[in-house]
Amino acid sequence: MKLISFFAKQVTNRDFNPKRVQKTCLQYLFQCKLHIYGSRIILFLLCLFAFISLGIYQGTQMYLKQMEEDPFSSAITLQVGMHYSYNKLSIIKERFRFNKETQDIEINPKSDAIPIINEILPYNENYLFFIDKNCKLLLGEEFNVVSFKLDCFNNNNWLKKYLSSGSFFSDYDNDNTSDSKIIVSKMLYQKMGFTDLKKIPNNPIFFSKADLVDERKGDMKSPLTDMEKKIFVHNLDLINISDRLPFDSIISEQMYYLLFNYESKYYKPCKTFELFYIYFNGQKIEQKILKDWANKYFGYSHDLVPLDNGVKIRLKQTDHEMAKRCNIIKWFQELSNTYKFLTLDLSKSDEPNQIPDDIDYSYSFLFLNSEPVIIDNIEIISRKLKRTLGCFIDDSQPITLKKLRKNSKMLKKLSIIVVSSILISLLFYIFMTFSLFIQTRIHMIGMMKSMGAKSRSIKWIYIYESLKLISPSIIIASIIAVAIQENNYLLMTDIVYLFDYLSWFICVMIILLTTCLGAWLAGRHVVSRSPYELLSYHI
Amino acid sequence: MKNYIFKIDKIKKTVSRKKKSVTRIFENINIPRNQLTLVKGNTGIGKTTLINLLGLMDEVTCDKDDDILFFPNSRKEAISYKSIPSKKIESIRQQYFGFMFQDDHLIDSWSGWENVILPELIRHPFMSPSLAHKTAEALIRECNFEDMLEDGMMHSSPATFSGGQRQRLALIRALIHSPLVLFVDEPFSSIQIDMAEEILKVLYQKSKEGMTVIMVIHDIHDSLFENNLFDVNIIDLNGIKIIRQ
Repeated sequence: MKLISFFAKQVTNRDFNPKRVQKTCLQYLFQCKLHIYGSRIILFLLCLFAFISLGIYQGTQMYLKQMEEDPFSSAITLQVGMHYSYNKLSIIKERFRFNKETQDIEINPKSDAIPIINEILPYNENYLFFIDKNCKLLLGEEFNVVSFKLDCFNNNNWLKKYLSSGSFFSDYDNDNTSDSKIIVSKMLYQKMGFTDLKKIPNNPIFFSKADLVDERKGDMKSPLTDMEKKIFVHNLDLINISDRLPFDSIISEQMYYLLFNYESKYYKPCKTFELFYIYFNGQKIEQKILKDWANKYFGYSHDLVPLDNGVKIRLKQTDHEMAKRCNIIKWFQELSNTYKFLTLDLSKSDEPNQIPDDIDYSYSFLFLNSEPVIIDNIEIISRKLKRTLGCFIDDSQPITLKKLRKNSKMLKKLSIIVVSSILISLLFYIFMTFSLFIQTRIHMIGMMKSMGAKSRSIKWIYIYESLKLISPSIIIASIIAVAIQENNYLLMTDIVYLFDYLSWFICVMIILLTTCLGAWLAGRHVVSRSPYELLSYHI
Repeated sequence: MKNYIFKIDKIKKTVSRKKKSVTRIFENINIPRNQLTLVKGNTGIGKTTLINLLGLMDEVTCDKDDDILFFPNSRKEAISYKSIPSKKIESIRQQYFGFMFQDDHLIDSWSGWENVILPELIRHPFMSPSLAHKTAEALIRECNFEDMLEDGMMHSSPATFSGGQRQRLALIRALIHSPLVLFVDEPFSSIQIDMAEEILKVLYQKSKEGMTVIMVIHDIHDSLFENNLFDVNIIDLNGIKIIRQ
């Protein structure tokens, strides 16, 4: 080992930078340098492929782990088509079981069957739309809001924990009931200017985007007119929170009803109505005029009931545009322009709604049991649920999870094969290169041995040289492997990449050991021969 | 007995080529200490084989009665080649022997200086290269090879040297670590007679200073010794037993 310290450096320095005898630089490059540069490029490519293969494997494993931990990755989404109640979905959750033996779903099965649905989370999707403080500007952004009942996961820590990690709970209106919590992201909460968790905005105005779009026929940029203010604003104070609410906020069920149903506190301008009244205020008007007006705007899907001092109009199809408050007010203004004594009364049917015990939802997440036997049979489960519930089912997430699990196993095998192949190639390359290299140095080795250089020391020289040869390749390949991660070069592809320093370190150690082994194997045979044999050797 | 540095009662060396083998039996050869010994004989008689065996350059296989005794010091016991552990062979070579080959075996990708200091660095791995340079330079001057120090010649590759310069460089390399025994294998085969004389003078001088020099030489260079300037010991191998099978 003593020999390594200086003597090895002396030898390797000249092996890498031989004394120039050649007449031209190009000749020197081709004879003395090209094989070193070429070897370094080949080794660099091998190392880079090894690091990237490892990164892709690590990335896929990380992605799979994230997917496994995320309950939504094994969730089926029930979409619009019918309304679900929490109670109805709870029954399905309890009854649906998967029988391993028959590989089929059983309803009300025996105890040994596996539960299919872990949890259910029914929800609604709404849009929030905002107006500025001076009631002049309709702010152009809409906000997708998911609402659901917090009771659904109050007893399920795993879901609560998952939601907590991506969102932020805050008490709303000092109400301690579970329904009165608002879930928003922490960033959103801070953007809205809240520092005190108990503090809430006094009177934010929320109304549906669709109402304004209908009213304005697509022009959403010009300031609100007086009429629009009257219809949509009703002189309530407004606060400008247009830039404070990001997309995909999650609010509680209670918040949803506060925003959309409680007119006493928060105005919902275009709520649909079943009936309204028109009063004559002591004047007279022909019944036919009112009949024609009602037919014009409400078609024949209404009943006009004469009263002592007016009429009661009951709409039969309340889900149409004509049943919306904004439209009723607008169309009534045409009538009142001619007959100014007429007044419209929406109040009798516009009482604040009470929150029903079991609310209907348009959407629901069914969090499936993520055991392989369930996820592997996702197609059977989807078909059965579709038949039972009669609605559109989006099972893309569990199918993705199933594919990912399958691909992960395949990728693991593939990565092992690729990395092993690279290491074997590396071993062979180093062995072959050094075998050839040592053949050209055989007289030198013989001469060194005649001077008393130890065989072990000579082997170490070539191991040292192999490390010197591969080191720049490893460094450059490592820099590129990190750069791929830092700059997301693979972001545009479907490849998930993760540069894990521990795996990289282990891989580098294996590469270095393989390199040393290759050089040792190449040197071993030569240095064991006698100096005379080496000196008299001729190619 | 201890005036000899090597004592061979009997040693065999068999060289096999295809189905034939040639066995040379060296018997009763004693090499005196601190002298210039010439090993002479016809071509193929086994001169190089003998010095390779003595210098542990080739594998020594000894039968019952075979052995080579090496006396590194007149006061110490002999080293029996029959019983040297294989790991110690390298140490003995490093500690006691120096070689000058028929082909100079200089490394053309190294500079002249790097070539000559190599044995010194092998023997003393922690020696500063500048110190080894100084030793080499002093040796070059001692041998009257000052012309090698001119024009930065020693900084260039030996590939640019003449045959005589290369052989002189090989001589300096063989002497730099002051070996106890210097084995010289036909050093004059490719150089002019005046250059050969120059080298011979150096070798003779070194033998006078206490180094044992064993040199293989051909009859064609007998003229170098005709004027009896050099007091040499001669071993003639022409009478050795050769068994061909």
